[in-house]
Amino acid sequence: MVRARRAVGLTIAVAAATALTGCGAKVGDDAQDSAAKDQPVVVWSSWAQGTSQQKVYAKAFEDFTKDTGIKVEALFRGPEVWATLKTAVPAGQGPDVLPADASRIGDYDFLTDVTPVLDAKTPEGANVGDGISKNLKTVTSDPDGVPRMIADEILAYGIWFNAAKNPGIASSPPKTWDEFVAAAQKSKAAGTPAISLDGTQARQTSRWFSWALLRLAGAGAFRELGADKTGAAWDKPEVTKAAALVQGLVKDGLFQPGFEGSKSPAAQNAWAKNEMTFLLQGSWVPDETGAMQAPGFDARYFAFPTIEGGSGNELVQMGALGWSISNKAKNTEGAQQLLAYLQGEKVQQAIADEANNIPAQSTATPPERLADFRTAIDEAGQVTVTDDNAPAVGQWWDKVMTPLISDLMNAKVTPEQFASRGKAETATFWRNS
Amino acid sequence: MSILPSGLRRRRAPQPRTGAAAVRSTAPSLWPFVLPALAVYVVLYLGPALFGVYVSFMRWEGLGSPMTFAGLANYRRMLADSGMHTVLLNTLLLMVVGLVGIGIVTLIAMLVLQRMRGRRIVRVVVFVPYLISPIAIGVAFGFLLDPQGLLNVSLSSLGLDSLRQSWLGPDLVFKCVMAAVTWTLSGLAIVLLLAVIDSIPASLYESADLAGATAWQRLWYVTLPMSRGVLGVVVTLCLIQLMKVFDIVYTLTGASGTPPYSARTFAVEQYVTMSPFGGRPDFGYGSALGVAFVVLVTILVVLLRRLLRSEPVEY
Repeated sequence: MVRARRAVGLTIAVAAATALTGCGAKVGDDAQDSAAKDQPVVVWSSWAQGTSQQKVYAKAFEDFTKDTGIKVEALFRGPEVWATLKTAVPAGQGPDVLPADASRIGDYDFLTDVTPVLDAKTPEGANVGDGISKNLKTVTSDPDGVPRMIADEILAYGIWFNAAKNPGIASSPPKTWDEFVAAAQKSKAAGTPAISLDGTQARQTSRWFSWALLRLAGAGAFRELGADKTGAAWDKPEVTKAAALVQGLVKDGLFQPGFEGSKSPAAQNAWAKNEMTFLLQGSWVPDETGAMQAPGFDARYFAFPTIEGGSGNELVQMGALGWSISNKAKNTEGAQQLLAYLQGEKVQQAIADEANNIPAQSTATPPERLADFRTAIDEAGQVTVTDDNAPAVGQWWDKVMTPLISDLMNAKVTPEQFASRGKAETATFWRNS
Repeated sequence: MSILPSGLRRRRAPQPRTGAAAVRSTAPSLWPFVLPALAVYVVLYLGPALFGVYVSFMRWEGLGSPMTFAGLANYRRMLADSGMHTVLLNTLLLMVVGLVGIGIVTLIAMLVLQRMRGRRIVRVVVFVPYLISPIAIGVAFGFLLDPQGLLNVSLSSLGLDSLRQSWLGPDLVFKCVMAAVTWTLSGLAIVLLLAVIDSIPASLYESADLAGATAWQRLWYVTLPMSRGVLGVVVTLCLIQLMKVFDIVYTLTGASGTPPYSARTFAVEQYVTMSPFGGRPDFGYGSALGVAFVVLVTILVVLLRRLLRSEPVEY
């Protein structure tokens, strides 16, 4: 009798859990708990009105409501939403569904475990998690491996150039650091400044150093500079070597003249007009510079060059944008259904075709010129989040790394001074924090 | 030399009863009128201000996160933070250079405009920059000062390539901020002071002319003494505005990241601390910055008011 009661209890518990999480259920199934339809799913988006993604999502939310009967109240708040989230959600005034960025997962402690969404079905009946690559799952999970966001699109980084103007680079792109420097020198000698950089933008500026360091020392080496509170991570010889390589580009005059005072996106736009040859930037660049591109411009990229002896030459830096669910959501079930719906073929293909980005689901075909990025990401032996997620290390990024990078790129410190100052200032920062 | 007629010399006006004595004499009838305003002041200003002081002794990442006592740690960190030294220096530099710059521009304007025809139109024109949003000014200066911007292009077209600079680079960006702020605030100072000049009796200038005073002497012996009270107000207003500079820095250096330390003011540093681009907000340290800022402003304003204190002039 007791066993029978336990069995009945267990069955009810499993059934309830399945219903609550939507586990294994197809989006729009009648079997879903009708509670999801009782109130709207409130969504805040970081896409501003009028952007390609905003249009894709606005349409998707409408379709979702038609297909499931669950209303969506969406606010497209633009990038300012990131600052608002930090105070609104803990105060209980936030949305059910939040915009998510793989590099910001550590900033927020109010994101629920989205495993139920990964286990749910898309409108076509496929399992959401099956279409997401292992590396993408890695960067969208927290340090304990708990998935905190469902990515819709993947961001990847490369060195971009105009293949129409540089057919030699297109046919034989530089693979090593030396080959890249030679190509840059050649561009400069031909009268075109080699590398485009908006030097007032700390994150773009730091990316040259961080990439070199990650190539030399592997995933986690950049973040460790801030996360190691003793500052000892700066003692690694790879830090000085990476700083020397990057400062070499500055001293050789390979960045455009006046790069240190260039305000984003001036240099990026100038690159699109063929005024410079190379641009280290993300996979969104062809779309973002589309209106500025010179006639016949054919934006192509190659991977950041490898550095001899480096342990991170197989590494891929990637970002992911998508959605998370608040732990204070009023309609968690509706939110889970919405996120699974957005993984459907229709929405995913629209992200590729209309927003020109790499969709998260492997079944969707990425834009032709970005197709190699997804292959590289899927096959990479090492993967790390954009900028190795170093900017998320407390306020160390802003107080220590940003000023140091500025001094390195403006040749105000030697590579050795860069490393020794970084060590001392990191230790001081954490001692005072 | 004094060119003021003897009848217009400064003399003390009878002092009305003020302060506690006045309040005591009418206290019962005042309170019903004072209380609503006092309540609003306490709830909307004094309460949040005191809460800010309280938070400055805490570690706190904002609503929903735990608040723990930090003692004087936030203030100690401020003293030890080398970036903060740059920020403080920038703020003081902006204040001094800005005030001197505004002073020079205003002085020239007063010299030129004190008896100029059509000065009302000029007054409107110089006031326009103060009316424009600082965001728009920052963006406009950003376009102007970009390496490929209008200034460098103009220099090149004039054959002055050697003068082309990386204006927004770390070495020059703060000088550009100071120039933009001085340009914006000068209009305010000029308009306020010209309004006072308009109210100075023409007979005083006529007396000065009869005494053979030059334009400079008219300014020094008539205009400045007669506008000293307003001058004190103008200097105080400009000082506070200069210390609060935020939006121009943010827009001039590009908002798609955090402004470099070489361009940061106290207000910018406080914002970056409480709304970091990456990482988590630090409201404890941000509040300590705010408290230090208020103390600094108060000291400077009191000193300036003492320096510019004057007896009322009757004529």
